[in-house]
Amino acid sequence: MKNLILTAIAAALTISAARAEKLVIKGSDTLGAKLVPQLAEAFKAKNPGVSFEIAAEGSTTGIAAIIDSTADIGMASRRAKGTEFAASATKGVKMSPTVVAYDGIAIVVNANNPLKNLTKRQLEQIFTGDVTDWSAVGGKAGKISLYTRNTASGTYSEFKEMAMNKRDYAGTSQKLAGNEQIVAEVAKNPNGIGYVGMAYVKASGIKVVTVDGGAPTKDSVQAHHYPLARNTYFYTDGVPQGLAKKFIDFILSPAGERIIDQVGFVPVK
Amino acid sequence: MKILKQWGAAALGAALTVSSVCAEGADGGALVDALVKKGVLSSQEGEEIRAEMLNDYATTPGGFLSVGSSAVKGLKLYGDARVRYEYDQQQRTVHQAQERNRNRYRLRIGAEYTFADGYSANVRLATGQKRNSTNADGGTGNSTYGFDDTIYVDVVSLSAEHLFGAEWLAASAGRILQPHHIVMGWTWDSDLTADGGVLKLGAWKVTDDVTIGTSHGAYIWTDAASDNPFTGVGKSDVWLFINQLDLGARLGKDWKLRFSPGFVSAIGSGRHNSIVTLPAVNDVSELNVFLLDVALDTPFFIAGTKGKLYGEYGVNLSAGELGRTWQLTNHNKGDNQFFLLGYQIAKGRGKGAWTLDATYAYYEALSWSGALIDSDWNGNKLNGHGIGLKFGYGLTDNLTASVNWRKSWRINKNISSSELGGGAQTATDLVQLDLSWKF
Repeated sequence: MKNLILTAIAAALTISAARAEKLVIKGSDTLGAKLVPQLAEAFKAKNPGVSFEIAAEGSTTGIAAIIDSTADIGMASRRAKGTEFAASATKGVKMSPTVVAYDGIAIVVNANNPLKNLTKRQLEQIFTGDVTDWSAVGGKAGKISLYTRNTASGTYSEFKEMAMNKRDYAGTSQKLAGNEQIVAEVAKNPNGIGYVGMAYVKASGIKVVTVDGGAPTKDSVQAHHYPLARNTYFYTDGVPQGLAKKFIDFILSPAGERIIDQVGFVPVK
Repeated sequence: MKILKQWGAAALGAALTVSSVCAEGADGGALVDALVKKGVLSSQEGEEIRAEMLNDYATTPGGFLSVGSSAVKGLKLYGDARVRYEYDQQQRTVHQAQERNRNRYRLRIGAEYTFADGYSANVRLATGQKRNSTNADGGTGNSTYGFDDTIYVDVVSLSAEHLFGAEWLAASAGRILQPHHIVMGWTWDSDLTADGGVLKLGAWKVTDDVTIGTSHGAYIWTDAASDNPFTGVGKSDVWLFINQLDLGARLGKDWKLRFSPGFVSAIGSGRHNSIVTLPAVNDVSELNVFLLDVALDTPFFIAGTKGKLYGEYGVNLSAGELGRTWQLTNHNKGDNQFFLLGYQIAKGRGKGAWTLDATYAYYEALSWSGALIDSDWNGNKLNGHGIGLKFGYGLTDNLTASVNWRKSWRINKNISSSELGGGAQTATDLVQLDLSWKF
């Protein structure tokens, strides 16, 4: 009798284990800190038995995880580079991108900073260290404190590409791990400036300045009119399949797009 | 409409894939971006095309080359190959001459890795086994000159364009290409690299037409074989320090001046230091050279040509010490100055381009280091003056033919060349016929 019960328990566990599916997602902090966990929760509610492992340590880590086959999906707030495609080819991996949402890189300053607008040229001067005082860009005199993302971040390299003419950041810039840390530091520092994804601009103590007169809104980003509008990506090995495809389909469905909108990103459709 | 768009995207993708083989970065990004902005392609279609192109490119021989890590922003493979016929003659005494004919070759292959944040690494391998010549002698039998066919590390260096984020501060360290304004191929042998480091400051704009900068190098010249006095009788390393000011001035539409005074000093002698006398080393420098380099870009009277007048002057303030080391009994009190004057005319670049270079050089016996002077000059010795003429012609964009002729005579006849180490020539002739290929 005892043996029979044990056998039955083992059989039940085996069946449930076979049914439990896990999706490993690694990469961008911009996507992985807020948006993807909420999408995962909604997806789990519709698909019981599915579990997620999400690690948000920067786009570079997500793309590397696809190349190394240690994740099903690599989140990225930037495009994969030619060198990364070359690295994937050497391992027999064919990286395939899916645009899951649009985002705008918002320039944030302390809420008490009187500045309202910066040009792209001024952004380049500020973040490369050519300009070190707010008075040089029409602000109140004070030494500018720069907050940037760390080098594993897609936003870090995307900003360099889009706003800094690919020049290097000033040596004085402070590199932080995530969008939320940037927002927190800028809120504390009256002379602070940083950049974050649109989903992170609602925090108190900061304000968004326009770039070349444009604000990061849903419409301006969707139409790619905002100068710092960008795509965000899910990278997979080949065309998405199985559970990864199911999850991506959900994200691009009306239910997924509602969540994207609520979190502060811009849906693709 | 949707089907039409998809076919259009597919056709565009195919076209771009084909053209991407030689496209830098291979992502035809600007065109795809424009089509996405115009609404011809959706963002997703644009990204798929880009990824398809990059995936395809990654499997071509060019794209398959992996550069190691995503921190590498660029990789430049470069090099050159040269085959040379060389004839040289050394006049030993009156009516007695020694001749030599050699067929030589040189190959150098390098890779320069550019990292994010302005750092780069450079590695170059070259034929030869000694630091002072990258030429190898041809021949399948025994070589008089030993194992010429070996490959050695010619350059291995790390450089920062803007050290510590400072726009005005650049640095290189390792085995580096000579970074100062010293005439290559004459005062500094063009095959010689330097082991050590250099800091470059500037160049700052003084006015719209004038810039100023400095370079500060420290190089190990002689690494004493047993420089650990705790394990026996030690020697001291010899270091070469070069500090130079670099002034640049635009004097007119076609006139540009570079004026570079500097100081070169060797510290340490490579001599034995006794354990007993530690810590006193008492090395006396034998090379303290004040150096002045001038280069003047000038217009030239033949249409389409450019001219450059260049000159160099040096005086060794420690010539007396050097004379004692060489045990030269017959050197004059001086014998400590050198100068060089040259004019170069050049026309065009690549195929059909030509250059003509005429130089007069004068190196007194104790004015400079015989280890640094060009080995193709005056039998690789000081105490010689003479002329050099070189003509080069571009057979193709990458292949150049050139002829180089040099003739020199002894300056101080009281100093025999054998006293300076080596054969006792009184005059030399040299002719080199080269075919060089750059890639």
